[in-house]
Amino acid sequence: MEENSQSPKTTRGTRQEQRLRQEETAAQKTDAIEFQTAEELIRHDAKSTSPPEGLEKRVKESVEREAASKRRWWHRFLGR
Amino acid sequence: MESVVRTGDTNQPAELGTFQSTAWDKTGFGAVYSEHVSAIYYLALRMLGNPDQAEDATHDIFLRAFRNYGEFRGESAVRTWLYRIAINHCRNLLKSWHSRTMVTESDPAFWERAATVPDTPFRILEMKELGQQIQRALDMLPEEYRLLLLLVADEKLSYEEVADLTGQTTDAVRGKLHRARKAFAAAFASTH
Repeated sequence: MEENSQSPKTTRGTRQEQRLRQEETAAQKTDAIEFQTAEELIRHDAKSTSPPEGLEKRVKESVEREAASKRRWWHRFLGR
Repeated sequence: MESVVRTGDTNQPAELGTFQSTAWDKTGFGAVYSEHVSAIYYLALRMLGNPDQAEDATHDIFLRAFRNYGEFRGESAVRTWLYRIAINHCRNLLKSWHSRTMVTESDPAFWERAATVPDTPFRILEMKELGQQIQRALDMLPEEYRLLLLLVADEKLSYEEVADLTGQTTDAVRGKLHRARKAFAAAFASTH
């Protein structure tokens, strides 16, 4: 009796494990990305790499300061 | 860092981004920055191998570009011009550091093995640490190969422009690219 009741469970358990393994393998196959050359791989990496968020503000501030100091120099030069 | 600038004409404080007629917008330099910053930052990141240093370098590269923007005659594409500034800047930084340990051409056994690596595709399962893995592989390459791969990876650059930036003929670029690919594949495999 016990043997009969355990056997289907074991079979079901094994099938579930097999299905899980198959799903994992399928998922791995789907997730794997293939790159033919080093440049392709690097290109993919470059596309997924963004510059830091604060960088634009920092460059913009420096550019504005630079421009302002140039303007000041011209004003002094022209005597305004 | 100072977040407020004074305009030269009025001497009134103006918060950045609120004025239309800032040098950033008026000169068109803001648009140049937006179009090319990703490429320049990525080159600096992979040449220097450190995000903080790459950020500082990118800031300095664009500031240097702005200083010379008025003299840019358009004889080359803006992107090539920016790359030239970036390459010089990163090379100068690397020269002054001397702190990094890399495998170079002086390790002949490594490069002999690299030449025999078959041309098989890179099959990537785990994307999480891909950037670090690529960095480790690039760090192992001679600077010449590293730069070549990074430039050729930019689809907006032609082989002629890569040749111009690296100071060689297009034939030499093609020949070295083949060796650089092999070297990268060997280095990348050794990072697993």
